[in-house]
Amino acid sequence: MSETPLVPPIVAAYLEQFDTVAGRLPIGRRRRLRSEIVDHLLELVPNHLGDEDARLALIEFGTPEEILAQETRAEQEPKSRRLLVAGIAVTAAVLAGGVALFVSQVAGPEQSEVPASSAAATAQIVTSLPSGEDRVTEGPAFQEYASIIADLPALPEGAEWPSGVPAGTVVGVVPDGSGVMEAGLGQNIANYTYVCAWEFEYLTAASKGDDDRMDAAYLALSAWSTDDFWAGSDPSRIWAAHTLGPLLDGNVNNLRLDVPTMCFNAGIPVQYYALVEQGL
Amino acid sequence: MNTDATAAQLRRGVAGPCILALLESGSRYGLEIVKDLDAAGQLLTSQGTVYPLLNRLSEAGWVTSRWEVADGERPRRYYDITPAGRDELNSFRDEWSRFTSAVDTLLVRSEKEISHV
Repeated sequence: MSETPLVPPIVAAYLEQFDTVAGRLPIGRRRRLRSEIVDHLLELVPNHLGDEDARLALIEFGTPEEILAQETRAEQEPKSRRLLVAGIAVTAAVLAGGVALFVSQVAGPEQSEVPASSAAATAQIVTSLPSGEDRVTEGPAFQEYASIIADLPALPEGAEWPSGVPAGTVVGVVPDGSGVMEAGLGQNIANYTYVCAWEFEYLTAASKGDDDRMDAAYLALSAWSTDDFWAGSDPSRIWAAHTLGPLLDGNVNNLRLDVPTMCFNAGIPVQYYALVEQGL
Repeated sequence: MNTDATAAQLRRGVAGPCILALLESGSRYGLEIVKDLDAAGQLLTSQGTVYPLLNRLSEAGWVTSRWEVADGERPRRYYDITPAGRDELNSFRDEWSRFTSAVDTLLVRSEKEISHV
């Protein structure tokens, strides 16, 4: 268990501040700007940087208001650079295996996010009783899962947290009785359920050309990618570059490929071709 | 006259062409652009404002971007100048030459007149 937050708390606080003030930006532009700022800050403010150095680096970077002023071509120079005070306590990472396979396929030719035949109403795949194994509500994996989902941000509209964890994880005992599963399994299931729901939400929204929902889904996934759980698995942000990066250019191919992997890790089987057939 | 505000306005006016000039010599990612602009003389009011500028250059068709993933390094979005961007940069060079020449002439003349008083 690491005692050091993987995304410096001061950066997390900065991003939260950015999200608050960037609401007036046009849809799409906000996503791209946030992505650029995240990548820049994680390089500019590495984890080992002391608090004072990190604070100075952020002052050099400029406040979200300053950047927004430039974005909106404001004529006035911001009156002052506010001191940035970290306000978020980022909890230490608990990483216990179960790292998803990265989708490393090079993005194919760009395609429209709005297929010619826009899909009809598409039900969420993350429900209280999703497909896959039966769910159980007992054992350490479930206890951990229940604790983690209480702290994760909300799922998209129409999605519900599964009522339990897949039966295969019951009481954390390996089925052949040879040992006990690692702690962290419930945390993995909770996090992959979260990202499975939001990835599916993005695909659904894109199939309908719903910019507001795409925007919300992108921001949820982007924020999750800098959270300790995922930042610990992917400190170089390979997943964000391969999966979220192409979305900024209107390409959902890699995200579509990623959904089966993430959902599988959540115990929710999803077939890639089923997504295609649904027009997602 | 508020010199700081004037300098900030000047920087805002020339930062875009300066980015094009940097990219003319080769692709760069955001942090590299910021560092090079800083090294040339703090040409940004603050580092983060480079991204709105890059967006504007991109919307104008003067810059494109692409992801590059090198072994062992974090993926980075690299920016490149387009042929239209080179044309724009060359136009700016001409304009800048005329502009600085005119301002220099005025400033030097004004300085001489004051020294004769």
